[in-house]
Amino acid sequence: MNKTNPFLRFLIKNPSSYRILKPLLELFNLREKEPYRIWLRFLIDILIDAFGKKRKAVIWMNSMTPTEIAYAFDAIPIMPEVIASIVSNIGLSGRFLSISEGKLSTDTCSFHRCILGLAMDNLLPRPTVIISSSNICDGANKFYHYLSSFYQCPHLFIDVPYDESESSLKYLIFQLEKIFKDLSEILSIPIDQNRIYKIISNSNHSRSLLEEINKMRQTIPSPFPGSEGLSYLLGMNFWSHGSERAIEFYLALKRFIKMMTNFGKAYKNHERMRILWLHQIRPYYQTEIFKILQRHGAMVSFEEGNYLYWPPLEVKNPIGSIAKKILSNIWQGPLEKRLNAISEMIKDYSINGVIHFSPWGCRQGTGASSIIGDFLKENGIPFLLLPGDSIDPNNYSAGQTRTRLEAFLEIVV
Amino acid sequence: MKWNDFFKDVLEKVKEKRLIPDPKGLIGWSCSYIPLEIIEALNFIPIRVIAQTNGEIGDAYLDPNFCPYIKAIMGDMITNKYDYISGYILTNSCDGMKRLFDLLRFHQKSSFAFLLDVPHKVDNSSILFFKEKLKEMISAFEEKFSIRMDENDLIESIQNANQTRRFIRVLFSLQGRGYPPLRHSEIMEIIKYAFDTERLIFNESIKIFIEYLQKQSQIPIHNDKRILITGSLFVTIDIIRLIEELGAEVAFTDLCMGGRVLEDVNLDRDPLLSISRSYLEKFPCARMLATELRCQRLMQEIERNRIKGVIYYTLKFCDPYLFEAPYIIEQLRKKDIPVLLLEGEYSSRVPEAMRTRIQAFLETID
Amino acid sequence: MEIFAGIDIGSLTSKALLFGEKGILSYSILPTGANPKIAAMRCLESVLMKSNIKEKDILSIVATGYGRIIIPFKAKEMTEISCHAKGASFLIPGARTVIDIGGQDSKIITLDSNSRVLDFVMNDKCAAGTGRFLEVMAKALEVELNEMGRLSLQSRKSISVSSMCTVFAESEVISLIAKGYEVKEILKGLHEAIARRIYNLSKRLRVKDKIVFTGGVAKNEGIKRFLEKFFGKEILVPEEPQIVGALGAALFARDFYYSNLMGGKNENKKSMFDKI
Repeated sequence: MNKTNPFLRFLIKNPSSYRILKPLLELFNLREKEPYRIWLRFLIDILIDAFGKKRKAVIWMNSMTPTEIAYAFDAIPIMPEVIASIVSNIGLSGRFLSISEGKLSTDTCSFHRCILGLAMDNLLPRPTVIISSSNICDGANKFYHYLSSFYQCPHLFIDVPYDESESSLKYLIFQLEKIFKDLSEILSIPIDQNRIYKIISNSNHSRSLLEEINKMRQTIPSPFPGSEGLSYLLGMNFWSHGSERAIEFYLALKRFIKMMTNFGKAYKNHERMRILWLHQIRPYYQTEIFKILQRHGAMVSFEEGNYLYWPPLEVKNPIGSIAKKILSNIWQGPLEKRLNAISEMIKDYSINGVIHFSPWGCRQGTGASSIIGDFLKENGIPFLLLPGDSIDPNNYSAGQTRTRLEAFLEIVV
Repeated sequence: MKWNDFFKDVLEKVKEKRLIPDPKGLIGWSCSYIPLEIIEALNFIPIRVIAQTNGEIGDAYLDPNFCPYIKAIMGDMITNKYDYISGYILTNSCDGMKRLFDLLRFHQKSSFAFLLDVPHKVDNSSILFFKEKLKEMISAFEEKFSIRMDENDLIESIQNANQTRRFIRVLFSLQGRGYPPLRHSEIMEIIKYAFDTERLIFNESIKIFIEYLQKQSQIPIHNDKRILITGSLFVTIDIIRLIEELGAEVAFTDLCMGGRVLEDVNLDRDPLLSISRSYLEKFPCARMLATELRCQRLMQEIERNRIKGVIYYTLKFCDPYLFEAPYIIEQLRKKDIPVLLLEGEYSSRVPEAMRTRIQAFLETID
Repeated sequence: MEIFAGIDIGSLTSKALLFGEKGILSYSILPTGANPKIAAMRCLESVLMKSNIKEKDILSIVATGYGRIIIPFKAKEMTEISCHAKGASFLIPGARTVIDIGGQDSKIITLDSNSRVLDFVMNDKCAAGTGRFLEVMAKALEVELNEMGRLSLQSRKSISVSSMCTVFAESEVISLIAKGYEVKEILKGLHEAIARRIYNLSKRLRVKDKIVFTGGVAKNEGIKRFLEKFFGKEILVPEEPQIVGALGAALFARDFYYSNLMGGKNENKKSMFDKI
């Protein structure tokens, strides 16, 4: 597969391209929802900073590693997995999956394969340091370590224990304290207590807005579509907590949802079925899935990826509370945590049916599907396992997906 | 298979003679990071969970893109093949194992199941952390079975286990002895017995076997096609036998049941801490975040054993090994060491396609 | 006379069925070939001719099967899951489980006491154990497709074939013959393996009596017997198992027609002779 031509690469990695793109995108998206526009601005500004002359450090992190750590050092967090989902959304993931094909088996996570392709094609902002945490999957650990040897940069690794016991919390706190020290050394930036407090309170502010938003989404009919929850809302949840932009975004989203509920408007009218989407992600390339659902009056009312699992951070105990945030992740540890959350979501969002997306390269998200399926069936809730892939369109079969979805909807509606 | 049968005979004879006090029961274990010494000090016999079926039953509980070994275990568990086991110790070795632990509990396949949290890295803090987790494992046993572990039993257990490991190291060094020469595949067959035989019986048997073997002469084998196999695990030694049939010699295996059970526990004042340290510091499995260290140690073995080619064998869908592969393969290629990457199912037969690949690979090695 | 039509466009065969007041009027089964639209047209033409009925006499049509999406003259689409359930419970009252093995996929459907679909599981990722698989094996073993089942039951011994991938299994079977194994033994091994896969697939559901076997492969006596062995229950095969989907579709066509009469407007029906 041919690498991108050098001129195009120059454009892609040049901050000026994004400065020019920014107002164009604004114009093009004038009629879109406000939170979506803030998301675009957030992304573009990050890329401008990340590709710019290095005033700030660029820290690559995997999903569910708390970005508060990067913001605490005034660094730019880059979430390659979210970038991969955007690349897939604009239909270009196939190219990068081909580039990395010789290196990683096609049975591994397509997010990582796509990122590797982008890295091999030298299109991503170079990391100053990589921070990854072992929740929630094996692949991310090893992959980010490989990337650190690829980019010849330090890799700080957060080994997340399995349970939430005292010994586990202690081990995690010890590691986080060391990471703060190491980061300070690597970036030559002293640990700034004031900035840490600011970041913590920003994070708590956006967290409480998310809590309100999640509560408002319980309204019938659903005021906000799960298809968008699974894209940019999830993206902001992974990328923005701790920043001020996050607060701007969640306020705008709250306003939007309030407006919808005040006018008693559904996102799409005649909502006949409320669906809970399981597995944190969805296919990001173009598919018919949400169109088919809408045609049958089915709405994804909520998605587990945006479940608020962590308690507020503590300004007086920043590292300890970040540790608690990491440990309270429901996809980490014994399955009961996730099952309890799912039961809660089914009640709170008045769910009539559950779709569990099952990407080909993912073990952590799909291994539990039979238990979840059994649990739901015992409680009389229709359940559909939907195989596919989030980034790799080769693992998606339109006909099979449509048949499965329609057969499921024929049962529920 | 002469040596394997001979060892089996020795084992049977020893079993007849020796009387071992009744153990409390059998405990199934899944991962080489589980200190068997602790299980034995609590007076249980550890039995390696090695599934027999080929996983079709497991397909009903796990998706097709899941580790075939774990699916096979699931199939065995659901059909109650392990009903004679008193409990399970699993680790969070990988995502698959964590899900297996959940499935075990949700299908109520055992009254005692414990997940041992093994850290992903090795430093002072993780060694202390692992010690805490071992303590929690011991408490779980003590509570469930109303027993108490005695530190002296633990020390004795460690010493017996070190004996086993020493014998196995000696056995590997005797590869090529005797007529017909003791082959690597036979050694692997013999080691398998260690995983489901009471330790003292195994120790005595292998001692007798080694003494006999050491009296045999060493016929020099000028086999230049020396292969190293690195990977997760396979149920059948057939792959190693196949390589030997095709005229090559397997000199070293870095597998869950081969090279990774060789290192002693260095006993000092705190036996539990000693166990924690020694288990974490041994030749790491790919699930540890230790790619460079693994590579280094592999290179050492390659040099020491004058290896001509490496076979990197992973089970299909095994993320730790699949993600580790790019770096290791790059380093091997840099040193001009031929490497063959194989992805296998968990089956008792070597598929034609794999046989062809191995054969072709061996033909390209001088 | 009220007439309803059901069309089932499968990967290997297309089926059309006309249903009237007295029950099934006629049906046709034709190979789908390369063009599902044309196959659907031909099938409908054929079934109209058989019962001497004009297209305009049909009150409503429902299409199912993988080719349902592109048929222009439908009134509605329903998935093969719902249609097989509907058709099977009509033919065999009390049906609670439907096993359908078609040309390229297999599925198992469970029904509740009202004959509505409760749950389903599909194996459409590969063709192992389907009609296509059996066709390939028949060729490799040089037996007639409709003889395979009977022959498989005649052997006491069975030779297991390790690969379930159609392409690899074919080469394996050829090499077994070269080694001198008997065709009947190999057939037994293959049929057992297919039945076992279905049985294992069914573990994801709660299978209850009565179990109905549909699809082209249901005509294979060997598969039926081995399924009975694994499930430990009787397996019922309707007289013409291939048209169960089309029957279900026609029954849905009838339901939709009546529910429209009672409270909906008439759908805009296109004639199949309109531009396709």
